[in-house]
Parts: sequence; C-alpha cells; structure tokens
Amino acid sequence: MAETRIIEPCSEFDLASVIAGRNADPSRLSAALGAALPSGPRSLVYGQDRMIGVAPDRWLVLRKNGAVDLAGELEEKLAGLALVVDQSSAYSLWRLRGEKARELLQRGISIDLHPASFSVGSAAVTQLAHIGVMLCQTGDQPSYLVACYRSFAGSFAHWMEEQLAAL
Amino acid sequence: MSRLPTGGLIDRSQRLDFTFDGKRLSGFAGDTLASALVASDVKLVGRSFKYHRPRGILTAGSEEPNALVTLHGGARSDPNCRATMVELFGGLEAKSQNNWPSLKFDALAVNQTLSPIFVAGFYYKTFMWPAALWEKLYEPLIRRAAGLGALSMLPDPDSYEHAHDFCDVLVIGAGPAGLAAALTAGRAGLRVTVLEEDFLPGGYLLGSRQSVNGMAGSAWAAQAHAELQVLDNVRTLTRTSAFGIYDGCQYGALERVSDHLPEIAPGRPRQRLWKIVAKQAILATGAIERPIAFGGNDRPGVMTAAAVSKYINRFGALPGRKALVFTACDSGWDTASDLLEAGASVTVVDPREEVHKGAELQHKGAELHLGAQIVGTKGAPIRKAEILLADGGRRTIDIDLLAMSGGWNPAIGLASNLGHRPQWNEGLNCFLVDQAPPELTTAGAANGSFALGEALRSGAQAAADAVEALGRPRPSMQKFTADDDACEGAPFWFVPESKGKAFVDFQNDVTDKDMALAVQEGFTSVEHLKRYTTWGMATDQGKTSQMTGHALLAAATGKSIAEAGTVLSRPPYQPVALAAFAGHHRGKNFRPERLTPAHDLHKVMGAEFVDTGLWKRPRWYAREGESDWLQIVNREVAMTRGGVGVCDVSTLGKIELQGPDAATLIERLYVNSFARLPVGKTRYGVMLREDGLVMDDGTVTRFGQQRFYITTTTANAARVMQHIDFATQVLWPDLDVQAISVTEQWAAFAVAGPHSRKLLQRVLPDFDLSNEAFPFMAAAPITWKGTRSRLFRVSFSGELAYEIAVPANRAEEMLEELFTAGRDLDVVPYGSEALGVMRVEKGHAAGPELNGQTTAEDLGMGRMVSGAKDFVGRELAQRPGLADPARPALVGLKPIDQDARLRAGAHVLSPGAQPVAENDQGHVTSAAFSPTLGHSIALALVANGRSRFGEQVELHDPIRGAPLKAVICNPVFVDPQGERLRG
Repeated sequence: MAETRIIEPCSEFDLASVIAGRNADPSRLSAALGAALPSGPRSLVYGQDRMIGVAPDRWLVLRKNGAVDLAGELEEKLAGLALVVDQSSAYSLWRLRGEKARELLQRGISIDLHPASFSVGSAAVTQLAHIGVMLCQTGDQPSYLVACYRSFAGSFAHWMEEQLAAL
Repeated sequence: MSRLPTGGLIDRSQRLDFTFDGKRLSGFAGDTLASALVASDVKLVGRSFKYHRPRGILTAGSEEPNALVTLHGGARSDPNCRATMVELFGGLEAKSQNNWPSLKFDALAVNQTLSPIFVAGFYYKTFMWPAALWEKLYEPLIRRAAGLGALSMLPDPDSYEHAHDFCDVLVIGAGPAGLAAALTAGRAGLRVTVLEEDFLPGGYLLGSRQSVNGMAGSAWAAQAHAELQVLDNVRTLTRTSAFGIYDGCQYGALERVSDHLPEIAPGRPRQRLWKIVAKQAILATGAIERPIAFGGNDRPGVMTAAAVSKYINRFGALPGRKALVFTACDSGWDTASDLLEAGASVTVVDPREEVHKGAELQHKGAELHLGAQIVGTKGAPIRKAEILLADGGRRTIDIDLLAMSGGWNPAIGLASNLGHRPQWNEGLNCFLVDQAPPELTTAGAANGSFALGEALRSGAQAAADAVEALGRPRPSMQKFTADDDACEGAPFWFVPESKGKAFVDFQNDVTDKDMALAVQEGFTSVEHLKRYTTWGMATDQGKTSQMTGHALLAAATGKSIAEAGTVLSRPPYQPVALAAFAGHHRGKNFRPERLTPAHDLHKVMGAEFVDTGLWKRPRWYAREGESDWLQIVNREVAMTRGGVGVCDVSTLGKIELQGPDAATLIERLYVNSFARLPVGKTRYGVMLREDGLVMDDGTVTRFGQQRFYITTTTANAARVMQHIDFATQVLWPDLDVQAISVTEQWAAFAVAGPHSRKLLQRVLPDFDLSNEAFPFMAAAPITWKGTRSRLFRVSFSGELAYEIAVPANRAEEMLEELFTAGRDLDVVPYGSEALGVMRVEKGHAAGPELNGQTTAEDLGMGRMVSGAKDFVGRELAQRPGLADPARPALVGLKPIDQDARLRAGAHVLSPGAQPVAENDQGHVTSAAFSPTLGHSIALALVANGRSRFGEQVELHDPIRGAPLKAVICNPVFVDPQGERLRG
C-alpha cells in the first residue's frame, strides 16, 4: 500500500468570514446558528461545518463542497448580528496528516505545535515561511488544516515541496 | 604515523581516506580532520592572516584560530573551516589557504620581515592618502595579501532550512555539567533540548582520563547520552552550535545536518538553522584553555595542553614525542602525565615555584623546571625551545611539541549577547557571568566550577533549580563520584622577556608589541584597543586571545584586569553560513510571490509579468511580430481606446464594511463626503494620513444602507486595511462597524473602450447596461452563471468602461468568456503599462504622485475636500506649509519638440535659469508616450503649477541628456470634458 501522503490540497470547499457586530454577543450568534462558536483560537465541528476562531469576535466557517451557498445561508441566519462575507475563493487549503506533518509544519511555523501547547481543536493565525496562514489541528494522529491566501499558494506549495524532500 | 597502537574513541575497523593539499592520507571513523592530520604527522596546516606565518593546529575544539582549511572543490568549496570541527569522512578533500604558491613556500611570508610597518593600526596609518585610491588600490591589495579562504563564486548547490524548537529547559553544551543537567531535567519529565557542537557528547570527558561514578568519563557520557535518547521528552541535537541569545528567551543554533557525510541525500539540507524558545536555559559550554604569549608561541607544533590530551585520549594520536609542557595551571600537569603515558619524553616548565603534582610526575620520568618560563622557540614545525630558568640561567632543548596552558576561561560569550558584561573573579583569575540574560544560568566550567565533581553537581543543581522555577517539585539530587581536585593555577599571561613575536591573537596576527604600541598611542579603553589592533575581531571572536589581551592592557596601563574591563560577544558566537540564514528563501524564492487568480491564463495569452510589490501583474501581451515593448503598449492603448480592452485589476485592495456606523466611519476616513451616496452608486475617494498628506485613493461603493465596499491601490491594500483596523479598534472602538479584506476573494477585470458595453451585454444578457439603467458610477450586485458577482461602471482609462468582479475561483472562466464573446469586436488584453499610459493621458494620480509628500490640493483634488465634516488628517492638512498656495501642484507637460521624449525624474526650471537646486520648481513624476496624441506627455508637480498653463519651462535631466523645452498644460490630455466615460 502506498504511504499516506503527508500533505494534500483541498478543493471543493466553501469558506465564509463571520464578524460579530459590536453589540452582538457571541452567544446570540451561536443561538442563531444553532451551533456554539468557539471562543478564542479554537476550532469546533458542527455537522458539516467547522467553525474556526481567527480573532476576537471573528470566525471562519468551513464547509465541504457547496450545493448551498454557505455565505448566503449564514448571512440569512446572522442578519443584523454579523458581517458575513464569502471567502471561498480567497484561500487555498491544505490537509496535513501524520507525525511527520507536525515536524514539517514546525520547520516553518514559529509557534509551539507540541501536543502540550497545540492539540485537537487548537487554531492559530500565524506565519509560515513569511506567508500568513491559518492553522488548525483537526485530529490526533495529528492532522491539520492550513489555509493561506490563494495568491500565495504557489510559494506556499514550493516551500512545502522543499520541506517534504528534506524530511 | 603518530597514531597510538590502542585507545581513543575511534573505530579502527573503519579506515577513511582523505586528501590534504592533494596528498592522500587516512584516518578512522571518529576522527576529526585535525586529529587525522595529527595522526598523519601533518604539522603545517595553514598560513597566518597578515604575516603569512606557517601555522599548525592550536586547539582541538571550536575555538581554533589557526587550522582553517577549504573543504571540497568547485561550487561546494567551503572556505575557512576549522579542521578541529570537521568530522572526517571517506573522500574528504581539504586544502590549506592563504598561501601562494604553496603552503611550504609562501611568497608573502616576506610580510614577516616587513612587520615593523604592519603594526597595530597599520591600515589607518598607511593607506590614508590619497583617499581616492581606497577602492581601486588599497582595498584590493589588502584583500589579496591578507585574507582567509576564497569563495567559489558559484551558486551554492546545497540547501539549507529553518526549524523551530520550544522547550522547558535548554541545555547548551553536553559536557559533564550539561549531561548532568539534561539527565536531571529529562528524568523530571520536562521538555528538554540539548545542544552539543561536537558529534559526540561528553565535552571535557572525551579528552581526559578522569572517571565518573567509577567508569571512564567517556563511557559515562555515552551512557548518559543513551539515556537521553530514549527519553521522549528530550531532544538531543549533536553537531549543533548555539550561536546567539536573543530577546524573549530565544536562542539561535546551527545544526550541521549533512556536513559529515560524503554525499548529501537528494533534498536533504546541508545545515539547519534552529530558532529555539526556552523557558529556562542552562549554559554549560565549558571553558576554553588560554595560550600564553611567549616568543614564537604560534609555531606549528605549539598546542594548548588540553588539545594535546584530547588528541591522545580521544583520538589515540600523539602530536609529538619530545614534548615540552609550559603550564601555569594544574591541568597542564595532567597533559604531561598523558604524554608520558603515551610514551613521549616530557619536560615541564611551570612559572610557579610549587606544584603539588610535581613529585608524582618526576617519578614517572618527567623533567621539571619550576619558576621557569619559555622565552623563545625555533623551527617550523617547532624544533627548539629556550627556557629561562628560575635561577636566571637559560637552557635550550630539542622538542617537537610544545603544550601550553595559561589556565581556563569559562566559555561565556553567549551570555553577553544581550549586553550583560562579565565580571572578573580574582580567585579564579577569569571572567564569570555576573548578570545573566533572563531565565539563563551557567553551570560547570562555564560557571567556574572547574573540578569535575563540582561541575557535575552544578549541572544537576542548575537543572533542579530550573525544574523548580517551572513550578514542578524539586527533583532529588543525583550522586556523582568524581575527582574533586580543584584545577589551580597562577595568573600568568605573557613572558615579558620573549624573543621574537609573541602572539596574542593568532587568527588576526596581533602580537604583544602591537598591544603595547596601541596603548602607547592612547588606545587604552578596551573597546578602542580591540578595534585599533583588531585583537579579538577575527571569526573566532577572540576565544583564545581575549584574556591575554586583557592582561597586556592591564599591564601597560598599570590597572588591574578588573579595572581594564572586558568586551562583549555578539551573535554569531560561532560562524554561521549566510545561506543558513536564508534557508529556502533564495533566488526566485527570496520572497513569496503573489499570483493573480487568472495568472496561468494570462501566461497563455502571452503576458509578460512585472513585479508590483509581491504581485506578478501582466505587463503587456506581445503578439507575433512585435519586438519592441513600446509598439506593444501603443497597440494595446489604441485598440482599447478604439475598440475594447480588458485589464486584470484583481490586485487592487478590496475591503467590505458593514454596520450601523459604517457610513460614519467612511466619512471619517475620506476627505470627501459619502453620507449621501445612494445605494447602488460608486464614488471616488481620497484618504489622508494623520499628518494631512494623501495616503491612498480608490472607490467607495454603497451596496446597502449599512454595507460598503471600498477599493484601494495595489500598493496600499494592506496599509489601508491596517488603517481601518486601527480606526475601529483604537480611535473609535464605539463605532459599530465590521471590516474585512476581500482582496483575495474577488477577481476584477476592467472592460474599457467604446465597445465595452456591447461586449459586456453579451456576457450579461439579462442585465440592462444602457446609460439610463446603469449610468456612469453605477454599481450593482449581479448574478453571472449562478455566481454572485459585482458590476461597477467606473473608468480609469477615461473610456466608457466597467469593472466586473467575480469570485477568484471563476476568474479564468470570466476572462475566457470575455475574449470569446468579444472576438469579433477585436477585444484586446492590456497590461499594466498600457493602463499606466492611459492614466497619464487622463491625468490620474497614481504611485509616483501619491508619494507620501503630496496633499489633496497638490493633486488637484482640493475641491473634493469637505469643509463640513471631520476626517483623519484634516487638522494637520491645514498647517501653513501644507496649505501654501505656491506648493508644487499636479500639471501636465507637453514637449515643444514633438519627437522629444519626456522622462520621469527630470527637474522643472524656468527657461535659461541656472541648473542649480535653488532654481528648481518641481519635477516630472510620470511620463509616457501617448499613442493617442502621437507624442510624449508627462505629469509633473510644479510650483504654482495650475496658474502656469501655457508657460514654457526647461526640463533638466543631466544624467540622461540635454535639457528639453516643454509647456505646462492641463494634466488631463485626453477627453478633458469626460464625455467618453459618460457615453
């Protein structure tokens, strides 16, 4: 059997930014969504959605494949409570898996990814090789999601390739 | 062969062949290049920096100043490698350096006889005048004559990478103290990282015959290392040198991943640069033995005593059979004993009158001279040494090895990286860390604990303290059985009666006389002395020379060493290749690049790209038969103005704003008013910096009562977003408005030209694009093939034009559709150059005009500035200097001679005025050939410009040509009434 690839690009996903209004308590947003938004740099999964805290009162909502317009759906639910913008095109997304994945990421990311500091549910907005990234740990093996702005995807992939070869 | 028949931590079953200056030699696995050279009787290894004196191997560690060699050949050629740090492998090629024509006969050794002129401050004194000769003559001359190895000048074929480490306890150095510390912290379950520059942990233990817990010291070190390796919470990095301590408890280290391998596996890095963040750190870097400054102390065959012991005990290599040990410290007597054990004859010279180990050595057959000194040596390699005896008599003896020990300096350079000056310890005769960098402690010999047992305990103790400091229970202390004999010594630094040159700094060729002369000339501050003589300023940062220099300074100024003071060490404490700092970021990948969503399609369409910040933007699209860029750009402009063109404007910054206070925020950000901007309309806007100068311009579109979308210039996209974040989070946190960058979400295309409506109507058949339904500056959310998109009727080109924005994922699809639908309209792609030409033709300000020095008024936007509201920059824009009506204002320029080419950067002067600065009236900011007008045009910032339309001026650009005559005009060259864009 072929070895599981450490890194794979994700396609077919929808992504939306949600920013709570100044006076909208996150609990009201959660109630409107029917799902608790994480507080702090954490990510949670509700049904088919992954909610990722990326800044105070700011989240990215990620959903696999889009039959429904994710941003449209969220906008409707959160009308008057939050700014929702579609970011499905704005990011390139990668999934990383395995013990080597942590080692690889730690080559470029200058925050501590040791399980004692960063574990399933942890999220961070940081830099990898001078490229801004959003990182969250999705599984224990470990597995991660990494997103960078799409315009940087080529440089990001180049860095990953060099590091993969160096592992 | 000087290889002993048995002993040493080498694998005699693995013979490794290598070459030195082309000569075939061999060593064993476990050797360094230096030990293999010692075992092969190679004494002469290099030539010195300034005097080209023959030099050998002085030490056995990273402090080596002499034995610098060039490894490998061709592009992998690696100069200035310390032979003592090079792990031997089969096939290694090493070459000596700084000699011509050969190591044995170096023509520039004549410098030695000229040494009276090569004294301290030689460069400053000699090459003063004429100054013009510095670059052309002096510097190249000096560089050739004085120097180290040469670079290959070829691209480095190896790769380098970065890595990050986070730990509870960082242990720097895996000698006795470091290993004891790592075991203590590791067994307590903390995350421990251990750095060891050698390929074998053990430090001092590897070179001595002392025992720990009843076993050989090296065996104990191996056992400790093995235990650390099985602990999951401990990371031991060998071949890794810590090179710097930085703020925030950050440490830099270089791991030599593949330097010891004959071949680097594909993709594997040669070296890895570690950035380590440690909650606690223990500096257990040991101590460096200091040489003594006596006449001829630099001859091949003179070594530090500990190095001799290390070659014997660790490598089974005997550096000489007729040995003289010149020591002022007890550890030198251990070396004498090692030499005797290895079968050498030994004479010991010690300036002290009494030495407690003397009798024992004498019994073993050593000849002793107490109260004596060495005053001179002869030979290269060394053949003779002259001893000044206690009774004043002199005696010359035949030797082939001189081991010297002036005592030990704790290796605490790293601890002064953050500016903490070490303090003199009178009892130990060395500098110790006084105040340490935050969360760092010293242990072992680095802390002045020179006795082995004491060093081990201090390591364990430091670790226990660290464990406690991290809030864990204090671990019970291990017991160590080891020799607790203090390594005593006398403060003895130099021999005043020396014959010939007595070197202080071996690598930079600084002698005792240089130091004395510099002091005579007034360089009595330790910092001045260092720079004037270059003492301690070579790549070894004075690891072996510093103390001797301090002592000489103290003696020459009549101060104590404590009063004379010491210098600081700065990173890198060990040399680091620049390539390691660069990592993967080199060549094309020096910095990340940003590609527009339709980049690949632009390429297919024949685009050449231009760097705009990190972005690659299509610059122009060459067609077959076009060779000249101007020809291409002229065609793109003409086809756009005459038909329809499409330009990718995706790189513009885009920000989405929403909230009850969104309109209020926008009012405060821009100089012009948006309060009454209706939904479905776009307006041009200008924002100022707090200081009143223009920051950026762009468009503001209202998509809902509380929903706005603004665009920025490409260059200022991030800056404007930051500005807005600052405004909403710091200036007015009470405003209920949310803003986010959507630059990457939207791809945007400008569709411009008289046929743009016809073209877009084909792409959007269900949307009424008529002037009545969708007039100039209209905006609307649209649906294109089921996708939410946006359409704006804005124009940068001055033509009837639109901007259509689609999600970036569908950018190529949209672009393809525009070109398919417009084939019969001869739709043309145009790049940033044509865009630039058209904006100059329309007099739009862009980067060269929005240069951080212009006001809204300067740019002709004074009328836009609202007097009825407050906005960022309003107050300071009213400063007299910024409100001065005579300030340079944006104007157009046309050449009198229609064929003349105007150039940006030219200065504007009145005709006939002297071309001097006080007559300067402004400068050309942007220039272009206007295919529409058939001649060159320019935008300029000219004093009182707007009242001078029609006036003739002279444009001075002396570097590129003779002055040109031009006429000041309205900056809007094409369609000044704006009829086309409203058509």
